[in-house]
Amino acid sequence: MNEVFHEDILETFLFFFLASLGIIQAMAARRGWHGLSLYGGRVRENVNRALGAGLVIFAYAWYFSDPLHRNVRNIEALMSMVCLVLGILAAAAFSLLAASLSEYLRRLRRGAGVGKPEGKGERDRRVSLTGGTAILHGVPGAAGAGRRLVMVGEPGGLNRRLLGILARSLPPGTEALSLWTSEFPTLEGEDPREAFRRPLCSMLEEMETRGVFSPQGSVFLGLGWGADQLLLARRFLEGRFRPDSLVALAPVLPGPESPTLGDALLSNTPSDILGAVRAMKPWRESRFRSLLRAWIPTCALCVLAATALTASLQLRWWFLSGPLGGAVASLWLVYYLDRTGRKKGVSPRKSWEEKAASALSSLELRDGECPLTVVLPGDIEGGLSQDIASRSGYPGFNMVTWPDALRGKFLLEGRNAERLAGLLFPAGGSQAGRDHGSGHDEVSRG
Amino acid sequence: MLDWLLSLDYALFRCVNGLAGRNILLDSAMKAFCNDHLVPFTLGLLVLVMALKGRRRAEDRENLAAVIRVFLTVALSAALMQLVITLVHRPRPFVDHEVNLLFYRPVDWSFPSNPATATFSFFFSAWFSDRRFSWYFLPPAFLMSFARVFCGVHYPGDVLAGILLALLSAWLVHRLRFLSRPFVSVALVLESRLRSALSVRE
Repeated sequence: MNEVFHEDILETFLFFFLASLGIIQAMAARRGWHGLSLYGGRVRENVNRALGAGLVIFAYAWYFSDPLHRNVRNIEALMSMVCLVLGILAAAAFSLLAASLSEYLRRLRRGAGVGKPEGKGERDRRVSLTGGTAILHGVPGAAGAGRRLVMVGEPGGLNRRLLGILARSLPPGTEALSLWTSEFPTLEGEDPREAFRRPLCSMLEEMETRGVFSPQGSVFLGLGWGADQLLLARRFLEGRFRPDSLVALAPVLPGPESPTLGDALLSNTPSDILGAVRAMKPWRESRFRSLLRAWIPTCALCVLAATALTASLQLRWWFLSGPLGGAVASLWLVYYLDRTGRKKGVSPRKSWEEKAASALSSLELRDGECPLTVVLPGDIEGGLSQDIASRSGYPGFNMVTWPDALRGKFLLEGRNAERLAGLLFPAGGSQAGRDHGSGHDEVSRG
Repeated sequence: MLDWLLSLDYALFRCVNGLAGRNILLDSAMKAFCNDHLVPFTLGLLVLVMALKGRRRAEDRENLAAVIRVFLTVALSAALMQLVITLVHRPRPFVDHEVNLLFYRPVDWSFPSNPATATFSFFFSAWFSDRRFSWYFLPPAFLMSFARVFCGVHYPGDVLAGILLALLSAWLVHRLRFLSRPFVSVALVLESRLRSALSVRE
């Protein structure tokens, strides 16, 4: 009898796992979550839907084909609920791992992940700066080059490998520098716009002062969060380095309706998302620390109390329900302790995303002196391009939409690197922002 | 008064249960819906669909809160049901009467109906959060509750009590927001940190 019971738990868990996996894949296709695609690239909508529906149908057919699961009591309701939650969690974990792994393999296959990491190439030179890192890319024929490019990567070096690949795809005779600040700002205390802008400005100043690289007259390219830093530092750059042009590739910009910054699942894989969270280090924030300080002792007390209670009442599964119930109760308690603290002004009310969104939503693209090009990938929120266009007043401003490019899988389309190089240094000699209309781009002028 | 209600309940039970054993197809369908697994499992998976069905992040955040409230409603209704079971001990219909039994003989008390409480908890909680989507929960919940009477394991009064208990639980969870607010906040903070972690990658 016991054997049947355990077997049923396993079968019920498997049923929920398979059916949940099917639902997650079908919904990923519907939402266009390329980051959760199991194929290492884009969502193949019809394949994903078919896979999802197939898994759900198979799960039902397999589970209910057993007469034991039709009209005979086997596992109890509580255990069914546990199987439901565990099955959904396991399906989600499997989707996250499989999507990350298949994207990793895709990058290897496309050669994006092989090669030497940037800064370790034979002709690359790594320079440590206060608050960040820079790499001078030794492009053949760069000595005395007329073309100079400064690439601003995302804080924490999130896309340093992509920077290296882009540097290698530049036309001969280009002197390239890539740099990134070491940390994301916590957005506590100082003006959030200043917190994004300041580290970049000081790094560029340090580069020039030390005589490592002079950004004077360069083309500046910012990627993702680096593009935001570039746009926020625009006035400083124009006053100090007189850039030839600015290109903001896939800046993180809040949508016109909600105070959110976008949706990482649209193109970033779960492992990329975790990497970004690790770079953002939310545990440095004072709010997180104060919450943790309050939660650890509260949780310990609640777990002890709840376990003692369930043990004394001799409830079934007391060794599981006690600690779990205690941990859940401690979350509830700590929330209200923190809320009381916030009412007294101890910890801040706004989340990091809200603060970043409010800082970046007021990003002003007007009043510039040098040409600016904003490149928007295909995974931006609807209506964002119109919003950006309405915020831009400089006659030379250009907004380019690359519908086939994804922020999190930029090299998915094999020619994006070359397309970007062509945008930065067009063949005719004119620089970015002055003349870049090409085949598949959707171009509009602000 | 109580006797009159009990006799009315039994009369209704006989009407519904009397339909059993006449049509093999109807019996099979009712046995399927009466099953301990089919409907509750389907409703559990519908909650997952509810969590992912939005079109934008703002909708996803609302759906996440709704899903947390569904689980809290189910937990609260289960707790309230246990409380009622300790107070009211009503035997199953097949214990006291001759019935058309199409199901195994459950050994626990009849009042209130456990499946009706659980399945209608899903429906009412979803209804308080998302009226449009909640209607998907109703047909399975209704069919399972009806099938329990049809198969002879519950009185209609048990089912009605389960529905009322589910309604009360859902109302309490949605009315007393302070119960769910901490869990919703934690979930939304996690959602915000993860989904705003954008980066340009190769």
